[in-house]
Parts: sequence; structure tokens; C-alpha cells
Amino acid sequence: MKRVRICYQIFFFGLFLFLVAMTDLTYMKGYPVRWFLQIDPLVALATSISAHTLHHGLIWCLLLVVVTVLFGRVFCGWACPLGVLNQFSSAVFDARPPGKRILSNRYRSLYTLKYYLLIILLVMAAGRSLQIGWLDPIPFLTRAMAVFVQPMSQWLGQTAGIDTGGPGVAMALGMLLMAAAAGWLISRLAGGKAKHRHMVRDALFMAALAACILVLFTFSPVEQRRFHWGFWVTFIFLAVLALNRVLPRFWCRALCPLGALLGLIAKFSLWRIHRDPGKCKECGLCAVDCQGACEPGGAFRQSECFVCLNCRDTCPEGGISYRFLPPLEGGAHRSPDLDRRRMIGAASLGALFILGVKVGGSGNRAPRRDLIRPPGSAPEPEFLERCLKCGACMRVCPSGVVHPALTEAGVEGLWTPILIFQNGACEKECTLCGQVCPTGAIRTLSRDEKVGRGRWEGNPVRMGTAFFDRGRCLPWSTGTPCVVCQEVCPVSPKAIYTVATEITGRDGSKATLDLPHVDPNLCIGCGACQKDCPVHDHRAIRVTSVGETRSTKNRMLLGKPRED
Amino acid sequence: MSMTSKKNTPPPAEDRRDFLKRIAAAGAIVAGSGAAALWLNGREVKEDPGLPKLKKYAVELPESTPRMAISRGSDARTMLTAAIDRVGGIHRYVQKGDVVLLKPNVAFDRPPTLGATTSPEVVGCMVALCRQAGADRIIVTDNPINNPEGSFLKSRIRRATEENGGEVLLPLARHFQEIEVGGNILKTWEFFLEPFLHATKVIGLPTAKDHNLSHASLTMKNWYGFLGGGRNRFHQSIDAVIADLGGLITPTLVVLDATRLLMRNGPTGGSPADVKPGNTIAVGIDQVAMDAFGFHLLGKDPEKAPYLKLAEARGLGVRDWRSLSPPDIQTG
Repeated sequence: MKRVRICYQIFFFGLFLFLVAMTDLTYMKGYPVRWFLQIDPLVALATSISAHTLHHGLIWCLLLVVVTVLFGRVFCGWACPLGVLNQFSSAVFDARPPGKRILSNRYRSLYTLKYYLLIILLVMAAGRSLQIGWLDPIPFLTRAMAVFVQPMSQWLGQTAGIDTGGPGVAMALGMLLMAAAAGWLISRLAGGKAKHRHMVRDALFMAALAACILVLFTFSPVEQRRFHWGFWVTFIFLAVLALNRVLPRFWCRALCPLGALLGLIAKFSLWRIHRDPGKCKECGLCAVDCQGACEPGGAFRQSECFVCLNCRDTCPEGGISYRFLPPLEGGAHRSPDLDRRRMIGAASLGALFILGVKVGGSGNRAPRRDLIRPPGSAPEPEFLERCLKCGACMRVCPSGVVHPALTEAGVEGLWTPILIFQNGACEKECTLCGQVCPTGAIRTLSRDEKVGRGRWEGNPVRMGTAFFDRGRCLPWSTGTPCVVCQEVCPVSPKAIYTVATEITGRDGSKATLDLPHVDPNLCIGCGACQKDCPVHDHRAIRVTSVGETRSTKNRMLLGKPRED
Repeated sequence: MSMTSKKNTPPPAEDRRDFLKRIAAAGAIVAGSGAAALWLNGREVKEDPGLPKLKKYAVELPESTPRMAISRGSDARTMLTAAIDRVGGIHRYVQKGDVVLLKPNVAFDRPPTLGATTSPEVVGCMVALCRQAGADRIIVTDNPINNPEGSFLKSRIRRATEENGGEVLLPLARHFQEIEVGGNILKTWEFFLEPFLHATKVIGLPTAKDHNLSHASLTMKNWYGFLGGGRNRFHQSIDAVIADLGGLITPTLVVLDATRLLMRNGPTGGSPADVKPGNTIAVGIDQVAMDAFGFHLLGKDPEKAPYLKLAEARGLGVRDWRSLSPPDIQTG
């Protein structure tokens, strides 16, 4: 059974990785790249609480709800891609002898923490601030892939000199072998006395990581991605993996709010683990490989069980089965042990967060100049109700201009997407970010609508407006010809125009120079000018958010009166 | 449980073996660091081997062969073949076993209808012609201003290339290397050297378009896409830079795609209204004459472009394209 489960896990992890890899301009071609985010019931629940609507596609979550009602938390044990990483890294980091493992797989009251976290996050959602993306494993891992694993893979691949478009099979095999060797080494270092079965597991884990690197490198854009303060995303991702050293599957057992939600549903599951008291000799071996710490050998906790079925396999008496509606044993816990006071406390914490961010510190009151959202983004309050911070838009953006916000969008907006034009600009004919957004925080635009053609003639989607810093602009401040900004301006007619102006040199000589200006009626705030401005460190033309289409308040122009 | 398992035994005295091990380890550390220090001490920076220079890719042409030919019509393949036949035929320029580097203008992430990039039909026909002439590999490349994948995809140049048996090379950071340009303003510059390590022939394939700064972007300006680094500094002295680019690359052949012309709002364009049909292809080896002809097509005065004068003064070609009496063929 264990082998079958591992096959499922590898399949789902591979599928996740494949879809992340396909979240790319050149490869997308209609693959359902949002699927994992769409089957996540926590995404559906929390966004419908915060935004009062179920974004189309999220109805897929019913699939997972039904599966959980039938079989329990099988998603956690058989399909969750972060669960796979946690399980494998538990095996790598936690090379305890079997006796100790039985202890570390005991149920602890700490494991109710995830239910309280779920309450906090849902109360925040009720306060119209969607924060589940912090801890929901699917957005969490999508973000880690986009912001950390992909750029790292790309860097390793390009440093190793492998061309994009297909590394050789030899190279792939070489990397897998190296990964297996590294796994073996780590198992030696971490475990003291090496155990052969550990080595295989560790090799598998390292092979999974190597596969990430290879797949994500192979399908990477040619330009190296670097994300704004990607460090924190990286750090937290690695810290979550490292927590498995403290207790196996620490994240899944103690922190995961999706696991908590599925646990609450699993309370009603029709199939469950059953211990035959007549056969049980209370040896405790059922807990030796137990993933969920659900105590199959004692007071079984249905909401904690990942249905890994290891207990069934390790029971020497054959006393444990997974059955349709088995009789309930006395002392078994169908629902989690939740403390009413703590639940109220958690709800209060969520409410306090809302009070805090809505009263002081939210980004959505006064417009911020550096809070420039991707094209098609909802107005800021609605955006914060919908954005999961999953980073799919960051992964897909072909010009690498979408970055996770650190402080730019306020406390609520941590890791929400913002445009930073220092190294990229929004491509005029591109609407990919809206196509991958699972919750409609970024709307799917047609190209005509974005560019302002046809029905939208004269009304392109604007992300902000460009302004010259005349004290730094080469023609304005130094009398040097330049106007790269005009060259790269993608709108027609160009929003940047020049006026031949007579200037006086230091020695009193007269010369004519093209001085650039912005026409704010034409500027769409794409940042092409800022990206290519040669005054590198602090550009002489910069886009700020004013004039963005999505806001009716962040405006500066009144518009022209209609001619009578 | 843990209390009882520990016994209070005094630490064992150091025996001879341990002592020798320690001495050996300490000795190894001292000897190792000493050796490393001696090895590193006084290491001088190696003498600069000099920067690489580009070869010249021109082929010998008989005196009687025109240096430029123009063909007009509506079918890209017919026009291209007719024009190349007048300058000696493709076999004059590409032989069996050649690795041909084709440099279209793929600067922007734009559909072909906007005229900001070379027309995919012309690129496809050129790749097919090189393939017919027996070329081993046809590498089509550019270092776009916009995102490279998007530019090759949306300009449809990737498809046109691959369908006709060519390969697209997208620029990676490690493909660039500082080279000796030896120009009047560009002494050395970061250059897209990777394809030049393989290429035996270099063919320019620009499209004729308006340019905000240099008035027009034609054959010489097209080499901009072989450069990396801070290209946005070129604009401060655009004419000198374009002349330097013309001097840097001595191509096997240049094909000017004027099947459609970006008349204004260049070099990006942005509206189909900025584009008008040109129905013309020019081929030749005289970049200056070809550029002057391009000015003529765009309805611009070549006198306004100082770079043409600079290039002529350097002996890169003649501005008076009519003096080459190029054959002007009307096809279909």
C-alpha cells in the first residue's frame, strides 16, 4: 500500500511541478495551470467570505470536499505537493530509531494550533482582508516555486551552462545521480548510523528536488529572474522544511490551515481506520510510521489522520483496517479537541488584526506612489479581498516586472504583486497575469481591452503615469542628447514627445536639443521608459500609480470638456 | 531514566595515540595553510590576452556583379529570389556546409502587422533559401529590447524560422563577451559573441522603419541587436554609434525587408495605422547605399542623417545609391 501511495504522491507532485513549469508565456497553451489552486477548498471558502463571490473555477473545490467526505484527509497523505516535500524532508531530517519515532508520532495538543490559525485567518477574511495565502499550502508552495525555486534553478542551470530548451539526457541523469549521492551523504550526516532504507528515501527526496531544479530550469525564460526581497519567501519556505527536524510533518500536523479545514470535513468521512480490539496487543508499532499523529492504536483521531495507511501495514497482528463505516470505538475522537476559550481568543486575534490594519497601516486609504498593480487588477480594497499572494502572476510574467510586495502594499498586502520597473516593463500586448490569477484579483483582460482597441478605443488599461525627474534627466539636466524613453514608448502616438529647445552651454554657446515630455493623456504607465532610462541607479523617468485605471480616486487629470 | 544511565566516571587520560593524532592534525594545518599562503603569495594578474575581434564575413564578388538590387512586387519569396539572383544568386553567398547567422530585427514583443519587426515571411524565405544553398545550420538571433521569448513568439519569427529548418538562438547572459569594436566612440563593448563562434556567414535582415532619434532604423542600425550592456547610452551620440556598428560588422549580405514600412512612431510603432505597404525588398553588400535607399522609401531626406555621412567618410559605402545603378525588378 505504501508503494501505491508514494506513486500517487510522486504523480501529484510531478503534476504540480509540471503546471508550475507550464505557467509560462511559451508553454501555457491552455494547460489548466490554476488547477491546484482551484481545487483548494480553503481558497474557495476564504475568498467567498472576503469577496462575497465564488470566482469561477473555484467550484472545482467541491471535488476535494467530496473526496474528503468519503475518504478523510487523503489529500494530505496522497496528493498535497507541500505534504510530499514535508514527508520526504521529515524522513531526511528525522532519522530517529523506531522507538523514538513512536514517541514523535504521538498526538500532541500543539496540533490543535492549526484549527485556531484557521479561525484567525477566516475572521480576517470576514474583515475583508484575505490572509490565507500566508499558510495555505497551495499558494504557499506556488509562491515558493515562483520566487525561490525557479530563480534558483535558473541560476544553477545557467551557471552550469545548460542551454534552455532541453538539457541533455546525460545532464539530467548526472544531476539525479548527484542528488542521490547528496541524499546518501545527508542521511549519513543527519542520522549517524546509516540505514539502507533511509538512503533510498533520502535519494528519492533529493531526486524530487533535483527534478524541481531541472524541470523549472528547462522551462525558464532566458532572463534571470530576481524577485524583490525574495529572501523572506525563501527563508520561510526552507524554515518550514527544517521544522520537520523538530517533529515529523510539523507543518502538516500543527500549522496547515487547509489541513485543519479538511480535518473538520473529515470528521464526517465514511471510510476510516479501524482497530480490531480483539487482535490488538498494544505494541504501539502502528505509530512507528504514522504520518498524521492520529493515534490509530489508541484513541483514534479521525480529523488528524492523513490516511497514509502505514499503521495497517506495520501492525504485526493485522488488526488495523481501513473500512467503510466501521464501528466507533469508545474514546475515539471524531472531531478535534477544540477549546472554546481558545477559539474565542483566536477569533479576537483575527478581529484585532483587522482593526489594526484597517485603522492604521493599511495600504488602501491614501494611494501610494509605488503601489502599482498588474494590469486588470481590482481596485485596492477588492484586490486585498481576493489576492492569495500565490505568485502565479510573478511566475508567468514574461518580463519579470511583477514582484512580491514587502511593505509597499501595507501589512495586508505582504507578497501581493506589484510592478517594479527597474528591470522590466509591462509588455503592451501581454495579458498573462490575468489569465493565471485564480481568484480574479487580476481580471482576465482581452488584448483589445488592455491596449485600448475596438470597443475600448482611447481607453487603454493604465497602471500609472510616468514623470520626468528633470534634475536627473540627461537632456534636461546636462544638455546631453538621449530620449531612449521616447524610443521605447510602446503606445501610438508615443506618450513621450520631444520639443527642440535652444539651450545655452557652459561657455555661452547656443545649441538645439530635443527635450522630452510626457503626455499624461497617452501614458499607460507600462514602465518601458523607466526600465530603459540610462540613469541606472535612480531613473530620471519614473512611473507612479496616479492615473491608474482601477482607481477612481487616484487620479490627477480632470479630462477634457466635450466640445459642444 | 536519563539520570540512571549516566555514570560518573573520570575522563580517560590522553594516550599516546591521541597525542600523536593531535600533533599530526596541527602539523597538517600549519603546513597546509603555509603552503596555500606561499602558493597565493605574489600571484600577479595574468597579462591581458586582448579582447576578441570580429572577422569579416564578406565574400569575393566579380566586378560585374551589382552591389545592390531592388525588387518590387507582392510575393516575398519571388521578390527575394529575384533580387538575390541579380546580385549573383544565393550560391555566391552561401555554400554547402556553411553556418549562416541571420539577424532579423526582432527588437519588440509585437505582432508583425505593427511593422516593428522584420516580416516573418521574409525571414522564413531567407532561411529556406540558405537551406536550399546547402547551409548546415541557420541561426536566427537578436537581442531584443523587450523580453526575448515574447519577441520571437509574437513577431512570429520563431515559427517562420523553425518551419523552414532554421534554429532560434535566444540571448543568455553568458553569450555576451567584451570585444574590440575599434570605433570612433565604441572602443570596446559587450557583444553577443556566441553565434559568431559558429557562424561562417552573416546576413543582416532588417526591416525598414522610422526611428525617433536616427530618423530611420535600417541595415546598420539593425546590428544594435548584437550588442549587450548599457545600450541605452548609445542615444547620446547615436550617429557615431551607428557608423561604428556599420564598421564593426562586415556582413556577407544584407537584405532590407521593405514589404511594409513603419512610417512613423518608430521604432516601436504601436498602431497598424503607422504602417503602410512597401512591396519592396532590397539586397546588397553596400550598407550605406541600402540605408540611403531606405530613407528614400520612407520618404525621408538622407541628408538629415549624419550617420550616413560618417559611414561614407569611413569608406563603408556610397550614399548615392543610384550611382550603383541597382537593377530594379518588377515581379508579379
